[in-house]
Amino acid sequence: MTYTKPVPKVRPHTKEFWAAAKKGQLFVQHCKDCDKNIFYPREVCPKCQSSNLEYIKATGKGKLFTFSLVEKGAPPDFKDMQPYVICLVNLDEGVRIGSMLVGYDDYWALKPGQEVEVVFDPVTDEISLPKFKPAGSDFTFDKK
Amino acid sequence: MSLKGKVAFIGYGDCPVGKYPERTSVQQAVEVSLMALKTSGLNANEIDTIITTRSFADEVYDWGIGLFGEEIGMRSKLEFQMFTGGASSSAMIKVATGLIMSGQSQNVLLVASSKWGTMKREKAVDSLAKLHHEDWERPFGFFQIGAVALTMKLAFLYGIVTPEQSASVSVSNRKWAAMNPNAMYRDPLTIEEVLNSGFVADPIHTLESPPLADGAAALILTSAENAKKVVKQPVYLLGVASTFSFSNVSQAQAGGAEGMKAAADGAYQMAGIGPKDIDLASIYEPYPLGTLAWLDNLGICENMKVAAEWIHEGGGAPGGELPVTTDGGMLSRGHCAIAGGMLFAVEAIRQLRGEVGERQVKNPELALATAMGGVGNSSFVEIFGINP
Repeated sequence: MTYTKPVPKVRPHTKEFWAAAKKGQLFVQHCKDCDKNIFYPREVCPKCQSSNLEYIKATGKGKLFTFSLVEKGAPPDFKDMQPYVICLVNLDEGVRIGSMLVGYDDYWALKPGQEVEVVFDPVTDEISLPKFKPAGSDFTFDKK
Repeated sequence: MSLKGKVAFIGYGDCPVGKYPERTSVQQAVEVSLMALKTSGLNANEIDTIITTRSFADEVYDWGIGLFGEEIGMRSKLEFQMFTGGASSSAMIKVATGLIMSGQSQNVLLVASSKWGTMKREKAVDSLAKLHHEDWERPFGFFQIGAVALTMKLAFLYGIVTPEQSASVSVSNRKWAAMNPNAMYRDPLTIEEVLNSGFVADPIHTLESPPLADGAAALILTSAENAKKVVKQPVYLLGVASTFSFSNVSQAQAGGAEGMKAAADGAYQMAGIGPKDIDLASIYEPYPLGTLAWLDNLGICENMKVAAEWIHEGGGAPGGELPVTTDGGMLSRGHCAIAGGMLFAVEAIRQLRGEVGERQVKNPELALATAMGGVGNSSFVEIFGINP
């Protein structure tokens, strides 16, 4: 079945990120001038405006910062997925990523600060979206 | 050079907010602008500058280049659009102030109009979702209310606000809306009804999210000197300040409210007043926690926890300690996009002129209005007074 939801475009500065994601590896950006870790990937460093940026391998682990169960308000593209959980995760690398939370048992038992880890959703041949699940969950995505 | 008391509002216009399929967005804009001319005593040919914004109607470009000016018949020195989400009207006020003080403009008309009420809801929600990052937010199911919900959830996770207290913001607003003939929803509302309305996105219940509406608003500004010659009671701009912080919610620092305090402090400082001096607060609040975060950052309440208790006890409702959002706000008056933002300033100015009827606050001298763009991306505070 064709995936009909919005898919990120692969751009010159994100090509490496999506190639790694396809192989099951989460990357974050790093500024070689001011040493700041960066997410989401940019063309210039948001701290020092340098374009001397590289990708580094992230652990794929982090802590749940906040989350929300979407019951009725989803945009048209995501209506069929309701209810689903969106979240913000503080990665071990000191950056925050917005994503979806999957593989949890009870939404109302989720806690801020809870450990989570990346799990890739292969939505197209080119793109695997980095989503998150509670640490230790054996949840995986099927190939679409 | 302080801006305090240098420019004044001499006219305002508004119209019923709700579902009005028979009105086009330009017609609404013309209607409220004629009212603004009437309340200012000016003629159309005395307006030398027109600032409009995105109309949020069916077509992005439905105002063309200058269609509004042509429809109302105003040839002027300058006509252009400005946009920074729900705070666009506040940015217009800052720009208009600069144009007037530098002598480039004399009488500036600000006008905004929305057709969200008539648009298909799906289309309106989708147009809002498209404001989110196409690579890093939308593919993950992010959208306007969802992004706000993520920041608001923190107040519940950490026990700062209870669901009942949050719901009481909607109830407080509805009590004011009952006295506003232009409001979309005026029937009595209870905390139970709010809590039983289901989650749009946890923790935001349906009755804690704003009904999308058709509506329009207009303001006319001029120099303080000129204002005294044309209207009996000019409403002076005493303080104004703004901040821009982020675009994507993942990049917000303090739960999305990080820009509010600096905007509030800047406006108070310019006006030379503090929160205790204010007679009414017109608070931009598409969602209840917006009101609570503003009450905290404006210094009206000691912190968000106190703000939640204060609102729950009726502190901002009719008969309470400080009138808050006296037109019913986004939650009950209705959310008509950028016009919905401008209506907070319109309400504060109308109150100061003593021209709101049943919900009139007794002899107010100082009022403030706030605005927010996006999900807290930019924050604005304006302070208005009847003396310069």
